[in-house]
Amino acid sequence: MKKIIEIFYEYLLNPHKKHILYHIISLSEKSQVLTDKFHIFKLIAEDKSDDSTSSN
Amino acid sequence: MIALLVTDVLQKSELDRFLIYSDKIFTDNSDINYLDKNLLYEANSLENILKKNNISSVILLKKSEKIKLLNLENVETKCNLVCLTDKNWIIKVPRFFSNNCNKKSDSCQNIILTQENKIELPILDDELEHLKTLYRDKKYQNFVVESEKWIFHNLGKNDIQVMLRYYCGLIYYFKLGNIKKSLEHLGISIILNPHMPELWCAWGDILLDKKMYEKSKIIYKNAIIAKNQRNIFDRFPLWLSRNSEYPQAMHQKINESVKKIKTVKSIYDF
Repeated sequence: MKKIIEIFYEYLLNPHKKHILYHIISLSEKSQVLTDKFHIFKLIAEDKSDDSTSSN
Repeated sequence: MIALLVTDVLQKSELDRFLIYSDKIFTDNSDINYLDKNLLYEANSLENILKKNNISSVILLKKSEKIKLLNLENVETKCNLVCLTDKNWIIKVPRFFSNNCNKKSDSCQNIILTQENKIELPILDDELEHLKTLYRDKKYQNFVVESEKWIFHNLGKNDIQVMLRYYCGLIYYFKLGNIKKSLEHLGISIILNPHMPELWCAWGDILLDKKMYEKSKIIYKNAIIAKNQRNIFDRFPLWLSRNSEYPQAMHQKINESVKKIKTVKSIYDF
Protein backbone atom coordinates (compact mmCIF):
# COMPACT_ATOMS: atom_id res chain seq x y z
CA MET A 1 0.00 0.00 0.00
CA LYS A 2 2.85 2.36 0.86
CA LYS A 3 4.35 1.90 -2.60
CA ILE A 4 0.97 2.46 -4.23
CA ILE A 5 0.55 5.71 -2.32
CA GLU A 6 4.01 6.89 -3.35
CA ILE A 7 3.22 6.22 -6.98
CA PHE A 8 -0.15 7.90 -6.60
CA TYR A 9 1.55 11.09 -5.40
CA GLU A 10 3.48 11.12 -8.63
CA TYR A 11 0.20 10.89 -10.52
CA LEU A 12 -1.42 13.67 -8.48
CA LEU A 13 1.42 15.99 -9.38
CA ASN A 14 1.41 14.86 -13.00
CA PRO A 15 -2.19 13.93 -13.76
CA HIS A 16 -1.55 13.90 -17.52
CA LYS A 17 0.70 10.85 -17.00
CA LYS A 18 -2.20 8.44 -17.03
CA HIS A 19 0.01 5.40 -17.51
CA ILE A 20 0.85 5.74 -13.79
CA LEU A 21 -2.71 4.73 -13.03
CA TYR A 22 -2.27 1.44 -14.89
CA HIS A 23 0.81 0.86 -12.78
CA ILE A 24 -1.25 1.43 -9.63
CA ILE A 25 -3.99 -0.91 -10.85
CA SER A 26 -1.45 -3.61 -11.60
CA LEU A 27 0.23 -3.20 -8.20
CA SER A 28 -3.11 -3.27 -6.40
CA GLU A 29 -4.12 -6.44 -8.23
CA LYS A 30 -0.86 -8.11 -7.31
CA SER A 31 -1.08 -7.14 -3.66
CA GLN A 32 -4.91 -7.42 -3.57
CA VAL A 33 -5.19 -4.03 -1.89
CA LEU A 34 -8.44 -2.09 -2.44
CA THR A 35 -8.67 -3.61 -5.92
CA ASP A 36 -12.38 -2.90 -6.41
CA LYS A 37 -11.91 0.76 -5.50
CA PHE A 38 -9.23 1.16 -8.14
CA HIS A 39 -11.59 0.29 -10.98
CA ILE A 40 -12.22 4.01 -11.25
CA PHE A 41 -8.54 4.57 -12.08
CA LYS A 42 -9.05 2.49 -15.19
CA LEU A 43 -11.93 4.76 -16.22
CA ILE A 44 -9.82 7.83 -15.58
CA ALA A 45 -6.90 6.38 -17.51
CA GLU A 46 -9.14 5.51 -20.44
CA ASP A 47 -10.78 8.93 -20.54
CA LYS A 48 -9.59 10.69 -23.67
CA SER A 49 -11.94 13.67 -23.67
CA ASP A 50 -9.30 16.21 -22.70
CA ASP A 51 -6.40 14.85 -24.68
CA SER A 52 -6.79 17.28 -27.57
CA THR A 53 -6.58 20.36 -25.34
CA SER A 54 -3.81 19.11 -23.11
CA SER A 55 -1.58 18.15 -26.01
CA ASN A 56 -1.81 21.62 -27.57
CA MET B 1 -45.56 23.56 11.18
CA ILE B 2 -42.91 24.50 8.67
CA ALA B 3 -39.24 23.69 8.89
CA LEU B 4 -36.48 25.34 6.95
CA LEU B 5 -33.28 23.43 6.44
CA VAL B 6 -30.18 25.14 5.16
CA THR B 7 -28.47 22.32 3.46
CA ASP B 8 -26.59 20.70 0.69
CA VAL B 9 -28.76 18.20 -1.07
CA LEU B 10 -28.01 15.42 -3.42
CA GLN B 11 -30.97 14.62 -5.54
CA LYS B 12 -30.97 11.40 -7.45
CA SER B 13 -34.19 11.66 -9.37
CA GLU B 14 -33.85 8.28 -11.03
CA LEU B 15 -33.86 6.67 -7.61
CA ASP B 16 -36.45 9.09 -6.29
CA ARG B 17 -34.36 9.57 -3.25
CA PHE B 18 -32.90 12.52 -1.42
CA LEU B 19 -29.96 12.59 0.87
CA ILE B 20 -29.88 15.59 3.07
CA TYR B 21 -27.04 17.02 5.01
CA SER B 22 -28.25 19.75 7.27
CA ASP B 23 -26.20 22.08 9.38
CA LYS B 24 -28.80 24.67 10.22
CA ILE B 25 -32.41 24.13 11.00
CA PHE B 26 -35.05 26.76 11.54
CA THR B 27 -38.64 26.23 12.50
CA ASP B 28 -41.39 28.58 13.54
CA ASN B 29 -40.97 27.15 17.00
CA SER B 30 -37.40 27.79 18.00
CA ASP B 31 -37.70 25.60 21.10
CA ILE B 32 -37.98 22.47 19.06
CA ASN B 33 -34.78 20.65 18.36
CA TYR B 34 -36.06 17.61 16.57
CA LEU B 35 -33.17 16.86 14.24
CA ASP B 36 -29.63 16.06 15.17
CA LYS B 37 -27.29 18.35 13.34
CA ASN B 38 -24.50 17.11 11.12
CA LEU B 39 -26.17 13.90 10.15
CA LEU B 40 -27.13 12.48 6.85
CA TYR B 41 -30.80 11.82 6.45
CA GLU B 42 -32.46 9.78 3.83
CA ALA B 43 -35.78 11.19 2.78
CA ASN B 44 -37.74 8.34 4.30
CA SER B 45 -36.24 8.63 7.75
CA LEU B 46 -36.51 12.41 7.62
CA GLU B 47 -40.14 12.12 6.70
CA ASN B 48 -40.81 9.94 9.73
CA ILE B 49 -39.06 12.36 12.05
CA LEU B 50 -40.95 15.29 10.64
CA LYS B 51 -44.31 13.58 10.85
CA LYS B 52 -43.67 12.64 14.44
CA ASN B 53 -43.07 16.31 15.18
CA ASN B 54 -46.07 17.48 13.21
CA ILE B 55 -43.95 19.13 10.53
CA SER B 56 -46.01 19.28 7.37
CA SER B 57 -43.53 20.81 4.96
CA VAL B 58 -39.87 21.40 4.59
CA ILE B 59 -38.14 24.05 2.59
CA LEU B 60 -34.60 23.15 1.70
CA LEU B 61 -32.25 25.98 0.97
CA LYS B 62 -29.08 24.88 -0.67
CA LYS B 63 -25.87 26.45 0.47
CA SER B 64 -25.15 27.30 -3.14
CA GLU B 65 -27.95 29.86 -3.05
CA LYS B 66 -30.57 28.09 -5.10
CA ILE B 67 -33.58 26.56 -3.52
CA LYS B 68 -35.06 23.10 -3.46
CA LEU B 69 -38.28 21.95 -2.01
CA LEU B 70 -38.80 18.62 -0.40
CA ASN B 71 -42.45 18.10 -0.97
CA LEU B 72 -43.47 15.63 1.68
CA GLU B 73 -47.10 16.55 1.32
CA ASN B 74 -48.97 19.07 -0.71
CA VAL B 75 -47.11 22.17 0.33
CA GLU B 76 -49.36 24.63 -1.45
CA THR B 77 -52.47 23.67 0.39
CA LYS B 78 -50.95 22.78 3.71
CA CYS B 79 -49.28 26.07 4.34
CA ASN B 80 -49.21 29.66 3.22
CA LEU B 81 -45.51 30.00 3.07
CA VAL B 82 -44.67 28.38 -0.21
CA CYS B 83 -46.33 28.32 -3.58
CA LEU B 84 -45.19 27.37 -7.02
CA THR B 85 -45.24 29.47 -10.18
CA ASP B 86 -44.47 28.21 -13.68
CA LYS B 87 -40.76 27.90 -13.20
CA ASN B 88 -39.81 29.50 -9.95
CA TRP B 89 -40.57 29.13 -6.33
CA ILE B 90 -42.14 32.08 -4.61
CA ILE B 91 -41.38 32.09 -0.97
CA LYS B 92 -43.31 34.23 1.41
CA VAL B 93 -40.62 34.49 3.98
CA PRO B 94 -41.62 33.68 7.55
CA ARG B 95 -40.90 36.40 10.05
CA PHE B 96 -38.17 34.62 11.98
CA PHE B 97 -35.73 34.29 9.14
CA SER B 98 -36.79 37.12 6.90
CA ASN B 99 -33.65 39.05 7.73
CA ASN B 100 -31.54 36.29 6.30
CA CYS B 101 -33.09 36.47 2.89
CA ASN B 102 -32.77 38.88 0.07
CA LYS B 103 -36.10 38.81 -1.66
CA LYS B 104 -35.84 40.57 -4.99
CA SER B 105 -39.46 40.46 -6.03
CA ASP B 106 -42.56 38.35 -5.75
CA SER B 107 -41.32 36.12 -8.53
CA CYS B 108 -37.71 35.98 -7.50
CA GLN B 109 -35.71 33.04 -8.73
CA ASN B 110 -33.39 32.66 -5.84
CA ILE B 111 -33.57 33.31 -2.18
CA ILE B 112 -30.08 34.38 -1.33
CA LEU B 113 -28.76 33.39 2.02
CA THR B 114 -26.42 35.50 4.02
CA GLN B 115 -22.89 34.35 4.63
CA GLU B 116 -23.64 33.31 8.21
CA ASN B 117 -25.41 30.28 6.88
CA LYS B 118 -22.31 28.74 5.36
CA ILE B 119 -21.47 25.26 6.56
CA GLU B 120 -18.38 25.63 8.64
CA LEU B 121 -18.24 22.65 10.92
CA PRO B 122 -16.21 19.73 9.64
CA ILE B 123 -18.10 16.56 8.96
CA LEU B 124 -16.28 14.03 11.06
CA ASP B 125 -17.11 10.86 12.89
CA ASP B 126 -18.60 11.17 16.37
CA GLU B 127 -15.44 9.87 18.00
CA LEU B 128 -13.61 12.92 16.63
CA GLU B 129 -15.81 15.42 18.42
CA HIS B 130 -12.79 17.05 20.10
CA LEU B 131 -11.32 17.81 16.68
CA LYS B 132 -14.52 19.53 15.59
CA THR B 133 -14.10 21.89 18.53
CA LEU B 134 -10.52 22.70 17.54
CA TYR B 135 -11.64 23.36 13.98
CA ARG B 136 -14.52 25.56 15.09
CA ASP B 137 -12.16 27.53 17.34
CA LYS B 138 -9.82 27.94 14.37
CA LYS B 139 -6.98 26.21 16.21
CA TYR B 140 -5.74 24.75 12.96
CA GLN B 141 -2.25 23.80 14.09
CA ASN B 142 -3.72 21.89 17.02
CA PHE B 143 -6.26 20.33 14.72
CA VAL B 144 -3.66 18.81 12.41
CA VAL B 145 -1.40 17.71 15.27
CA GLU B 146 -4.27 15.99 17.08
CA SER B 147 -5.56 14.53 13.82
CA GLU B 148 -2.19 13.03 13.01
CA LYS B 149 -1.98 11.54 16.48
CA TRP B 150 -5.38 9.98 16.00
CA ILE B 151 -4.43 8.64 12.57
CA PHE B 152 -1.22 7.14 13.97
CA HIS B 153 -3.18 5.23 16.61
CA ASN B 154 -6.05 4.25 14.27
CA LEU B 155 -4.38 3.26 11.03
CA GLY B 156 -6.93 0.54 10.33
CA LYS B 157 -9.92 2.89 10.41
CA ASN B 158 -9.73 3.82 6.76
CA ASP B 159 -13.24 5.18 6.39
CA ILE B 160 -12.89 7.69 9.23
CA GLN B 161 -9.46 8.66 7.97
CA VAL B 162 -10.87 9.76 4.60
CA MET B 163 -12.69 12.80 5.94
CA LEU B 164 -10.08 13.58 8.57
CA ARG B 165 -7.27 13.58 6.03
CA TYR B 166 -9.43 15.67 3.68
CA TYR B 167 -9.71 18.43 6.29
CA CYS B 168 -6.03 18.08 7.23
CA GLY B 169 -5.10 18.45 3.57
CA LEU B 170 -7.18 21.60 3.20
CA ILE B 171 -5.90 23.12 6.44
CA TYR B 172 -2.27 22.34 5.65
CA TYR B 173 -2.51 24.08 2.31
CA PHE B 174 -4.96 26.90 2.80
CA LYS B 175 -4.27 27.74 6.44
CA LEU B 176 -0.74 26.59 7.20
CA GLY B 177 0.83 26.87 3.76
CA ASN B 178 2.39 23.42 3.83
CA ILE B 179 1.81 21.87 0.41
CA LYS B 180 3.89 18.77 1.13
CA LYS B 181 1.78 17.75 4.12
CA SER B 182 -1.37 18.77 2.28
CA LEU B 183 -0.52 16.43 -0.58
CA GLU B 184 0.28 13.66 1.85
CA HIS B 185 -3.13 13.83 3.48
CA LEU B 186 -5.24 14.55 0.41
CA GLY B 187 -3.43 11.89 -1.61
CA ILE B 188 -4.17 9.20 0.96
CA SER B 189 -7.77 10.34 1.35
CA ILE B 190 -8.29 10.08 -2.42
CA ILE B 191 -6.69 6.67 -2.64
CA LEU B 192 -8.82 5.43 0.25
CA ASN B 193 -11.96 6.68 -1.46
CA PRO B 194 -11.33 7.55 -5.11
CA HIS B 195 -15.07 7.67 -5.78
CA MET B 196 -15.56 10.87 -3.81
CA PRO B 197 -15.44 13.88 -6.15
CA GLU B 198 -15.06 16.36 -3.30
CA LEU B 199 -11.57 14.99 -2.63
CA TRP B 200 -10.50 15.34 -6.25
CA CYS B 201 -11.95 18.86 -6.28
CA ALA B 202 -9.85 19.81 -3.26
CA TRP B 203 -6.72 18.67 -5.04
CA GLY B 204 -7.86 20.45 -8.23
CA ASP B 205 -8.31 23.65 -6.22
CA ILE B 206 -4.77 23.43 -4.90
CA LEU B 207 -3.30 22.88 -8.36
CA LEU B 208 -5.37 25.77 -9.65
CA ASP B 209 -4.15 27.95 -6.80
CA LYS B 210 -0.61 27.06 -7.88
CA LYS B 211 -1.60 28.16 -11.41
CA MET B 212 -1.21 24.66 -12.81
CA TYR B 213 -4.21 25.08 -15.10
CA GLU B 214 -3.89 22.04 -17.34
CA LYS B 215 -3.21 19.73 -14.43
CA SER B 216 -6.08 21.06 -12.36
CA LYS B 217 -8.36 20.67 -15.37
CA ILE B 218 -7.56 16.96 -15.54
CA ILE B 219 -8.17 16.58 -11.82
CA TYR B 220 -11.56 18.30 -12.09
CA LYS B 221 -12.35 15.91 -14.93
CA ASN B 222 -11.45 13.05 -12.62
CA ALA B 223 -13.91 14.50 -10.10
CA ILE B 224 -16.65 14.33 -12.73
CA ILE B 225 -15.76 10.70 -13.51
CA ALA B 226 -15.74 9.94 -9.78
CA LYS B 227 -19.14 11.53 -9.36
CA ASN B 228 -20.61 9.25 -12.00
CA GLN B 229 -19.16 6.21 -10.27
CA ARG B 230 -20.08 7.07 -6.74
CA ASN B 231 -22.48 4.94 -4.80
CA ILE B 232 -24.82 7.42 -3.18
CA PHE B 233 -25.49 4.99 -0.37
CA ASP B 234 -21.94 5.11 0.89
CA ARG B 235 -21.29 6.51 4.34
CA PHE B 236 -19.53 9.65 3.23
CA PRO B 237 -21.07 13.12 3.16
CA LEU B 238 -22.24 14.59 -0.08
CA TRP B 239 -22.02 18.20 -1.09
CA LEU B 240 -24.08 18.88 -4.14
CA SER B 241 -22.15 22.06 -4.78
CA ARG B 242 -18.86 20.16 -4.90
CA ASN B 243 -20.18 16.96 -6.31
CA SER B 244 -21.30 17.85 -9.76
CA GLU B 245 -21.74 21.52 -10.60
CA TYR B 246 -18.42 22.66 -9.21
CA PRO B 247 -15.95 20.39 -11.03
CA GLN B 248 -17.94 20.79 -14.24
CA ALA B 249 -17.91 24.58 -13.94
CA MET B 250 -14.24 24.71 -13.00
CA HIS B 251 -13.29 22.43 -15.87
CA GLN B 252 -15.21 24.61 -18.29
CA LYS B 253 -13.81 27.85 -16.91
CA ILE B 254 -10.23 26.64 -17.21
CA ASN B 255 -10.94 25.48 -20.75
CA GLU B 256 -12.29 28.92 -21.65
CA SER B 257 -9.41 30.72 -19.94
CA VAL B 258 -6.82 28.60 -21.69
CA LYS B 259 -8.49 29.27 -25.04
CA LYS B 260 -8.39 33.02 -24.35
CA ILE B 261 -4.72 32.86 -23.40
CA LYS B 262 -3.99 30.94 -26.58
CA THR B 263 -5.83 33.58 -28.61
CA VAL B 264 -3.70 36.36 -27.16
CA LYS B 265 -0.53 34.39 -27.78
CA SER B 266 -1.49 33.73 -31.37
CA ILE B 267 -1.36 37.46 -32.15
CA TYR B 268 2.39 37.30 -31.72
CA ASP B 269 2.89 34.15 -33.77
CA PHE B 270 4.89 34.85 -36.91
